Amino acid sequence: MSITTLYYLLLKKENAHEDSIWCCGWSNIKPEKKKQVENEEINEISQDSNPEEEQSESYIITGGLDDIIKVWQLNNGKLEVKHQLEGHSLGVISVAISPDGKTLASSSQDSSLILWDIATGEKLKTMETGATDVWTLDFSPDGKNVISGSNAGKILIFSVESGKQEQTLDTRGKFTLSVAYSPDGKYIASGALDGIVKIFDVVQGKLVHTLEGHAKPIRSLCFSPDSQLLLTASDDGHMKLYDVVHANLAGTLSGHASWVLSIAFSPDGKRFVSGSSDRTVRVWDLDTMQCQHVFKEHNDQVWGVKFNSESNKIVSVSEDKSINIYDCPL
Amino acid sequence: MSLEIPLMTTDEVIELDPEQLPSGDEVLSILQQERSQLNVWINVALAYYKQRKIDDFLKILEASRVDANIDYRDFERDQMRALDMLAAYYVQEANKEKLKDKKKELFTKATLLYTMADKIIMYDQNHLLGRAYFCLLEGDKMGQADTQFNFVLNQSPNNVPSLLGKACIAFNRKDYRGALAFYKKALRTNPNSPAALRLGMGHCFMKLNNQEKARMAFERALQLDPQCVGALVGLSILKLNQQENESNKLAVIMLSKAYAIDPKNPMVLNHLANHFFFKKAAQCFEKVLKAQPGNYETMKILGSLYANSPSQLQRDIARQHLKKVTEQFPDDVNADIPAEILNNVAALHYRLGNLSDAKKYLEEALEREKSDAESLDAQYYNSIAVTTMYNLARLNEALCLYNKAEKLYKDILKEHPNYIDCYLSRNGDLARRSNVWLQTLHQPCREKDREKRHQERALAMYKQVLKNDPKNIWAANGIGCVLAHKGCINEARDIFAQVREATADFPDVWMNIAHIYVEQKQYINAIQMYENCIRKFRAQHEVEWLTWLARAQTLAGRTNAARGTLLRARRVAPHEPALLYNTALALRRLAATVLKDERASLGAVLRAVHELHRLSSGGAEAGPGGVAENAAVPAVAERARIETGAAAGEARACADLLSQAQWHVTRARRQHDEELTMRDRQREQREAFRRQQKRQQFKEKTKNALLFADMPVESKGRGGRRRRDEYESGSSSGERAADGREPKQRKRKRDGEGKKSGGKKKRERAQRGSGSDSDPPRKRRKRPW
Repeated sequence: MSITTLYYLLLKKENAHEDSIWCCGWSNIKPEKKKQVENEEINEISQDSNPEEEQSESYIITGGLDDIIKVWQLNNGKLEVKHQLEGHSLGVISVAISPDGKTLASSSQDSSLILWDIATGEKLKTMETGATDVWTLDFSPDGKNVISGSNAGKILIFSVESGKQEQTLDTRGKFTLSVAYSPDGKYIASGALDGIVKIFDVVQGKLVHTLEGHAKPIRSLCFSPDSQLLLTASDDGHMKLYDVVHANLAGTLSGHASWVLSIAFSPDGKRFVSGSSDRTVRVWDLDTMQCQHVFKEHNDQVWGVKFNSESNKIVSVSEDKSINIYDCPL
Repeated sequence: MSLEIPLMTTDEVIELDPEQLPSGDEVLSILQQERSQLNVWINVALAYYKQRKIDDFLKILEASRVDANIDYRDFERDQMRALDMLAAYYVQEANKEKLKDKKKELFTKATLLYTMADKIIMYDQNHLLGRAYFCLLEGDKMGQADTQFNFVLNQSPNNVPSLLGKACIAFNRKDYRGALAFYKKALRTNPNSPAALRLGMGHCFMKLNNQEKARMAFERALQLDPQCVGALVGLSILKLNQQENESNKLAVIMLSKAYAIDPKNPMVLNHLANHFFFKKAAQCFEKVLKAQPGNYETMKILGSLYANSPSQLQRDIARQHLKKVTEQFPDDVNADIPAEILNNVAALHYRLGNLSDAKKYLEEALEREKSDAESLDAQYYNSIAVTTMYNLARLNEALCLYNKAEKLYKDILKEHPNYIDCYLSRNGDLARRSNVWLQTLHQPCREKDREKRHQERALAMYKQVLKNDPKNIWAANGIGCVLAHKGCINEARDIFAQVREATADFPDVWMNIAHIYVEQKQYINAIQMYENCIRKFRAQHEVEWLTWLARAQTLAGRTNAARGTLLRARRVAPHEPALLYNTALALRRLAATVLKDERASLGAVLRAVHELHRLSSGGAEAGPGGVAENAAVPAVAERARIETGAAAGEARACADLLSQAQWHVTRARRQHDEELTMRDRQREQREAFRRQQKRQQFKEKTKNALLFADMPVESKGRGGRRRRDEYESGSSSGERAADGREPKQRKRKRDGEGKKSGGKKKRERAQRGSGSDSDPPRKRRKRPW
């Protein structure tokens, strides 16, 4: 381990929105193949159209109380707005990015769910949600479905193709605050208001595990990139790691002084990042289960954190209206 | 050995006697003038440090970073030394510093310097050591420190500082044998080690239960350094452990000496405290021993210790020691743990929040006191029993067992009518009720009679408390609450203001003042107070507080801000039906104001209507859902029903407003369209005018070229780029107009999905659409987009 602290704040965008920022995403559209195996179509296209090496396009997406979703690009150390997406009201709750990085799904407190094209900023579709609250979102790894939590504890599964709700999974629990689709497509996990985590088998549509590790609301959860582990974050200030197949507790991580609002794995699966009401962002090492670094750069609660596709940068958004980007070399 | 500063021009040197240094500024100016090499600077600074002239030391080192001559071989090494020395000094200061902010500031300084040094020679041994110690002291970086020590030890296996560091880490990891081995190795390498090494060995021996060797180590340390506080403490503990009168006395003397050397050392204070408990215990056990002369002193120190140690750590240490005492005692004293110790252990548990543990100890203490009171000194034990009972009552209160608490308070009062704390706590209980009342001022209050009775009683008791203890802020706060309750708002405000001047540390006061402001209709002040309070106590996710803030904002007419506040609360607690209801209410108000505003833009009106619609349907749904959920608990069911009723009413109101909204939307749209048409027309006029002008100019120009008199229009139209551009810009402004209409169209479509009224609007739109076909052709051209 090196002695110097290599983590640092790369840039801070103050007043990025007019009001609190509640969610963020980091999209990466790859024109050429190499790393991404899933996007064969794009690969072909890029090969046909552009034989020389082309830079992949990376976008940061943020949304919040001012009802506007902003699509940013990081150019020469500056964050520039590429698109402003309007159409939500009562505050944007969640944004999710399709695995190919091209499509954005967003939800707001007026229970609308909208799909956008990230590169062009066009609205693709407004999902038919009815009166049920949609809450946080996630994409299925094949990009065909969007899932959302809802007020009656149900997990809603929408089809991107038809724009309709296709299926529901009933957790028979309280308000589902967080959902996650495993990268291998086998599982859907949900975290509820009462701290109960449920894991569903997608193919069978059946509940396979109920985890009762937290006593307080779970506002964020995510799978490790290899789908072996599930990480949960709760208002009790702790995070827990579970082995997905056997539902064994692999570890508890403490350090935040208040609610943990958002967590995300790095795509290389080595680290994860957490944001909390205690205004800090913490980077954790998966192997040692230790906190590697604490960023105290926000002056209000941190609502969202995400790694970039190379796993060497982190974005965080906060109630203080600012976006921070950190450099976190491997 | 003297210090030498070489002079620039000659071979001479200025000699300084390290024992009698001239003033720092003088030397500094010499150094600057002679452009001395950095190593000279460092040596001089070091000499000042050894003479405890810290200011000069700092001054010279800080100046050396800029002014010193670094034009010689291996200057980096000296640069490293300068930076590391300064950093080490800051770390040392930080370690001594008790104030959190200051400590942090010093640590930051040190970090900065170390980072700077990192860039010069990263793997310099001394630098690594400095960093490692920094990590050790900064806390929770022990692993990092360990790695660095290992790194150094790999290079030079007998590096004493690393060995000491490793020993320290091993000790902290409870590997006492390992720690001892490291210390021994260090001692072998350097037999003239300082007292601290012996001290460390002593601690290890203590932990390994080798008291004799521990004593020897401590005594040796004391020989080497008579001022060594740690050795004094260690020896006194050993003496205390002998539990004999004589040795106890010796121990107190040593501790007092240590206290004289360093009055802030937590170890000393804690052991003095410890000793006090010990002594007390011995007293109880032997009963005959009257208070010793030293006892008063210790008691004072103990008092100051508790009064001055708000830090979690110190209390934690104190608790651990107490626990140790109780754990050790059962064997020594035939399981006869004195009640006082139990009581104190419980008190510490209570402070640390371990309520159930505290309760266990208190109940045990009470039992012991009762039995002791029968068999032994009745008066003494009865009096401490009261204290224990009071503590138990407080605890019950904290556990929300109010009935039990009240019974205990009453029991105490029966026997000791003068026990003021009791009144106070009971008042607190009542005050809480009035607080609750104050908070829910706007809700229907059913227990009016009972409230009134409580209110009178609470006021009387507060007065009594204040008579006895004029500075009791809780009582004052309580009086404020009651006064506010009785409608004496101004008086209440004055009292709250006074309380806040006394302390700003508990949120109740802030909130109460804000509530009062609301009552006085000073909404702006109220909002400020709420916001400050939320910020200060970092309660951005406290739904209740956010609701109050939103209420004040609504009352102040800041409906938009209220909307934001409520949405923020809903982001945190989307499941709360009450919150949904409040949000619906706020949005309805917002919509009402927007709709009433004749000048409101179409976008704002449509947004208001859309949100209203969304909420009214959501609210109606959430209402019954809430009931179903709550019905399981009968007591809550009633409240839920009220809420549903209210929600239903709200939904009706929303529907009413929505039906009116129809008209408003039409109005706003008409207005909007009119504006657009007006703007279009104006633009057209302008365009026409400009075109005419152009034409005029053109005509004049072409007058000279008579030959092409007939051609110009066409040639301009095709070949003349400029002209074409103008056309484009003309139509692109039209496009902008069409764009302005675009979002509206989108919005309307979304409305249409949601409700029927949208359909009607769509038809209207269609009609107008056909009407607009008669517009100039360029508009039609835009249509497909």
